[in-house]
Amino acid sequence: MAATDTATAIPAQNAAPHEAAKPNFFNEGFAQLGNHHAIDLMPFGEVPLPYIFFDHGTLQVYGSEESLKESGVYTTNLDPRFDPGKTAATSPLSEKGNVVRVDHKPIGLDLSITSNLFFLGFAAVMLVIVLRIAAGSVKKSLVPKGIRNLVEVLILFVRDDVVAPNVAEPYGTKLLPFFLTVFFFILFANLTGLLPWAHTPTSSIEVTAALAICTFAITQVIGIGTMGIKTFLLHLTAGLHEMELSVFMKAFLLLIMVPIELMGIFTKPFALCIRLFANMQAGHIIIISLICLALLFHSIIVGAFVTVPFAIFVYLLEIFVATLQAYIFTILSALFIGMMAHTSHDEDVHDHDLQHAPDGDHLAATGHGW
Amino acid sequence: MNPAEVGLAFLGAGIGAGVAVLGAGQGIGKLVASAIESQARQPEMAGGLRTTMIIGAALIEGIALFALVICIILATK
Repeated sequence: MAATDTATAIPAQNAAPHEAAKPNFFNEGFAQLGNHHAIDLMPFGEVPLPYIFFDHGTLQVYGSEESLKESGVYTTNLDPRFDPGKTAATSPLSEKGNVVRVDHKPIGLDLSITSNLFFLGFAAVMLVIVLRIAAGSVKKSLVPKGIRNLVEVLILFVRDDVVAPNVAEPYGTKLLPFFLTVFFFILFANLTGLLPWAHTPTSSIEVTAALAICTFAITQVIGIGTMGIKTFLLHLTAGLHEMELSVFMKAFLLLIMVPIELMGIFTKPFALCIRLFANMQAGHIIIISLICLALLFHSIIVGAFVTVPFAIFVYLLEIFVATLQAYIFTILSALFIGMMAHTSHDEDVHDHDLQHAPDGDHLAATGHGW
Repeated sequence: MNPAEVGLAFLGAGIGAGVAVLGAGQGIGKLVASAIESQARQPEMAGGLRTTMIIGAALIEGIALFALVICIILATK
């Protein structure tokens, strides 16, 4: 009896202090960064977003959380019907809980429109609208007016200072739409997160991973397309195949260099993904931590003199970081793609990549230009 | 997870974030110092040097943010 008593007493004891240790507003604050199934317009209410599942061959759509629970088949994992042992979220990012089936089976495919997806669509729609307005005013007059000024400045900046010095001639023009799309999409997506009540699309690692995968795919396709498979694989040796070394030394060095080069192919896009994701998350986490600081002290003086000034400063810094990260993603993509894009006049020096990097004089000297 | 593990995880997250920022700050400080010195020596190269400096700073900051992501994972589990 005593053994079973202590056995049941200990889990309860371990569960309770952990929940009591985290005050509720930390959970609520950090839950703002996660994915929600409703747009949370804070003082005004909530706009529920539909739950869409493709489960066991049928498509189920529910308008809101109440209708989800009424269905009897699905519920959230905070519902007492699902798991009587759990009473509150144990991790800050899952305040509302995930959707689960009542009979504990896994759900097939979750295609719900969540708040992240909604604001991703919002950023894309804003992008298309702004660029369409700018492009439409080209027909009206040659002199730029209004938003076309800003858009033209950014496009010329990407074309002349980001793509042209890094990506060699024919591929620069061909890939310019990709770089422009990446730059403007990341810019709009990052800035969307600064609007009231909006989530940042690029602060979820799925979106940044998708962008990094696009860059990675284009790098490899351009590499294999311009150089051929043989030269592409010779790049993995990092120039060792041309050195005058004995077979032993070459084999030994190759054994070390090839895995490192192979990892280098994958770490570069991975770093792009993580850099953008973490930069976008960090600003929001700092602002939420500042707000929770004021709530923790239960004091309005801390709120007025610490939270508001620092939060304003971090907010302005976030605007700068949003623009900078769009530029960094674009220029690093241009660098990686430019290293892989070989044109005919540098076939003989294909292993001296580092000497080819940003070099405006090269374009001027050969007379190639835009 | 018992409270001792949670406490250690938070401690690790805090120390990790601090140490990561130390390394990043030192690296970017050195980078910007040499960029400013080179711009002072050759003002006509200022534009290209600024571009290279920003790319270098972003790469260094990317690595510091790897550590930050791990700290966040520690602190939220």
